[in-house]
Amino acid sequence: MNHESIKDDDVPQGWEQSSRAFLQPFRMADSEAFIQSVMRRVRAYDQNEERRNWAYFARWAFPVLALSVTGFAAALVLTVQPIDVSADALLPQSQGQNVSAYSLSAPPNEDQILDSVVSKP
Amino acid sequence: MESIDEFQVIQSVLRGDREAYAALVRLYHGRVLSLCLSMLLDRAEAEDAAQEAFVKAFASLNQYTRNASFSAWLYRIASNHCLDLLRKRKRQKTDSLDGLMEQKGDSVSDFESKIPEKSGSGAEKQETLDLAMRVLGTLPPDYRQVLILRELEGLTYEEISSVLKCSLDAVKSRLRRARQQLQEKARHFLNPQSFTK
Repeated sequence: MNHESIKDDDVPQGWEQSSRAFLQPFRMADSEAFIQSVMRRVRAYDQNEERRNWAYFARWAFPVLALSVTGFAAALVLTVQPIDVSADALLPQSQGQNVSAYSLSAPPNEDQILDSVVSKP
Repeated sequence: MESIDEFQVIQSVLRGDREAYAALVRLYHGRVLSLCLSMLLDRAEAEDAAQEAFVKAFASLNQYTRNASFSAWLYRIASNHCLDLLRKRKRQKTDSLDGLMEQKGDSVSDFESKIPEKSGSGAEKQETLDLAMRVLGTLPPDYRQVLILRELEGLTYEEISSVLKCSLDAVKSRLRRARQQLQEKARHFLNPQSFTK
């Protein structure tokens, strides 16, 4: 479809004059200063963008890292129980042996030694 | 118009050569500035808006696809930015046409003789631009926008519809109404004989 021809039919009478008077003055001349100013802004934007990316990363990374460490520590505390090395705790494991809990917890007196000798076949 | 391979320049910029962007700025800055000025009607604000539009385009250059021409894409960014500024400004303060006639007096009635063909002193050009801004300021921003895109930038209807994100019919009717309104305002300033030529 040729839209250009539609445009030509649509313009009011004397339009060229009005367009020249009120629209052409808006045509801007080239300005090197403007270009340099835009490029300065672009460079500044680029540098800020790098900083923003790092700040964005840091804003999430550090809390996530801290949370991970805390979680790991909590898991460690909850799952790894301290080993009870008292004699009482060892007793069930030593049931097959000929050592009594009594004798381990306190030195036998003479009667006890005698009893154990007499009771042996 | 300077002939550069826009897409190649864009690719260079995206690969990290940000200085290559200057070629695109050099090619389009006049036109983007014209568009911003016609919408904002303030030279300083328009320059700032045009620069900001270029920075926004740079920031979202990776989103540009070759579906639309780069110029149309850039105009859309500039145009949306100006509309945002206008919304922030809430209301465009424009003097009434009567007020303008009273204030400018002879200079307005003599306006036609001051329209520069191509040359003209800086002061005359500035005065012409000031008057053009005040007259154009009586039109709604969307009318100014479509007039500049069509009359000054020479965009096709399809390109304008892509910039304004509206249908071709909407572009045509908006342009027709904009021309009629501007023509109405122009009658106050231009020699009536101009309209019967």
